[in-house]
Amino acid sequence: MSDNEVLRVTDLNVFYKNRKRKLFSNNKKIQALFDVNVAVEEGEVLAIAGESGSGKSTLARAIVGINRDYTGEIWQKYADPQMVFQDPYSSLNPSKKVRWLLEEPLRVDRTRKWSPLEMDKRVYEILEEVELPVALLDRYPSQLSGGQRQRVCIGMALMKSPKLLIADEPVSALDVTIQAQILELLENLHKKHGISIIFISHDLRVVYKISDHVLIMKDGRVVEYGETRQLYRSPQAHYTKSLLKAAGIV
Amino acid sequence: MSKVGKKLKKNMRDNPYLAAGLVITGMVLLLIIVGLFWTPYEPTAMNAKEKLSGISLRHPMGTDNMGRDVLSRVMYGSRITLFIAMGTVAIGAFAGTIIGAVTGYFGGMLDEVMMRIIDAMFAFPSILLALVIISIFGTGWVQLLVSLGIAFVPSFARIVRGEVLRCRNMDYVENARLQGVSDLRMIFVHILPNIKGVLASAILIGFNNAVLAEAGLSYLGVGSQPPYASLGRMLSDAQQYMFTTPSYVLCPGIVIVLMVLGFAFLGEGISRWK
Repeated sequence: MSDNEVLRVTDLNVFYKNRKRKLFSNNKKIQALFDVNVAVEEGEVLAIAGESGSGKSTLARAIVGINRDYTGEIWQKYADPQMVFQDPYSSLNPSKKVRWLLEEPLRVDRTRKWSPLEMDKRVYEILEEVELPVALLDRYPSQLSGGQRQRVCIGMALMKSPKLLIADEPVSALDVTIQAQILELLENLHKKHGISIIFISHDLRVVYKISDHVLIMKDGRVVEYGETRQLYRSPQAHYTKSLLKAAGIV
Repeated sequence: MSKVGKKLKKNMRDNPYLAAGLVITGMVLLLIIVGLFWTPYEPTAMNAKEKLSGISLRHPMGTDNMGRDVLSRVMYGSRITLFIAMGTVAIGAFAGTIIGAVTGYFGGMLDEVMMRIIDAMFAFPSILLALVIISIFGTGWVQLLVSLGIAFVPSFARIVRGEVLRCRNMDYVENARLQGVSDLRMIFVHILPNIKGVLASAILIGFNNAVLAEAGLSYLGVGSQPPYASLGRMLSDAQQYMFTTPSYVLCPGIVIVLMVLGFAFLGEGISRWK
């Protein structure tokens, strides 16, 4: 265990309520993750890859604290990890303007009070960071394109300068050209501020481009973990091989 | 011109519902406001010589079975009707929204218990429920308003709860939670603005129902007391003269229709506001 870690997940088991439960059956819970161990180092990009239902999002949601029903340990060096959601169409409150959305994390900041002037300044800083024009501040999310919305989401996540950012399939809902732009934005932010990023994706080509380490998951278990280039060159697990093959990489 | 004024002008042009709603509601409100200061006759003044006269210059809406001027009574009565309907909806919507939002958001035992109470209230027709409350607290329009208000709480609570339940698991709520938004702020600042459209139509339907419920209760003699009468009361008084003096039943009826229609259009217009 190095001192360099920002996140260490030890023997994590996550449970969901069993919604299909019959009245007298015993299994109240469904286990979604089984003994997951993973660590993220300061300033690295960890990719979590795997098919739908493999537990990628469950892991992310447990780390940020949305899924509270777990056993095991989640240790974090810094408080308040932030998350960018998959669907930019549902992750922005439709009744609020962009400026309001960006200011909200500061308004509810418990660690300090932000004056209106500071808030304004921070909003413009972030706007520049995520490369959005100032004119968008007075628009509603419904008036933005998918790419613009995702930039707003990233901006919201960055408002309080988090040290760990979890991007849950941030480009899956976008078309290909916009995907490239958003990925580039994430990479730039990563390089500029040294934010650690957990990047969740089912697209192994994107993973290769962006990540330092990869965690391959299947059915709630970790299949393989390793340095990205190394793992792509010589995958050990059978499942990893088939994934790479399906993506047309090997 | 102010920014809001400009926006209103633009909306009036592109949005026929809003324009129609404002015009019709404006007409009814004008009738009520003028009635506050001046009516052609004293609403309670009887005149045995002019019983059940039809529409004439002396009595633009005719007279009733006691020779009272219907226009004067309509001006006075629509004020009572509007006030009771608005008060009813205000009480129902306010309490219902809070109950529905809190139970829907937190769920669990609180939700179960509250919803069973609401179910029990639903089991009574709202008019019956209002009657029970009135029989406890006595007759009069304040009692009527409060009891109808309470009777209207369950439907609002149900609607708001359902909507909050729908919004609660949306990504933007989870996103806000990650940023550290507290539960109360989440309910009232993040979620409720998103259900204002549904709430607005519920309020308008509730308003119509309140006008009708008030008429029904007045008919049973527990609403506004004679000699003053709400529109609903006049309507029920007038029904036996429907064929001899149609103007007596038509005039209050038309004012009720305009009131309800105006608010319905206004609601539709507001939901299309850009």
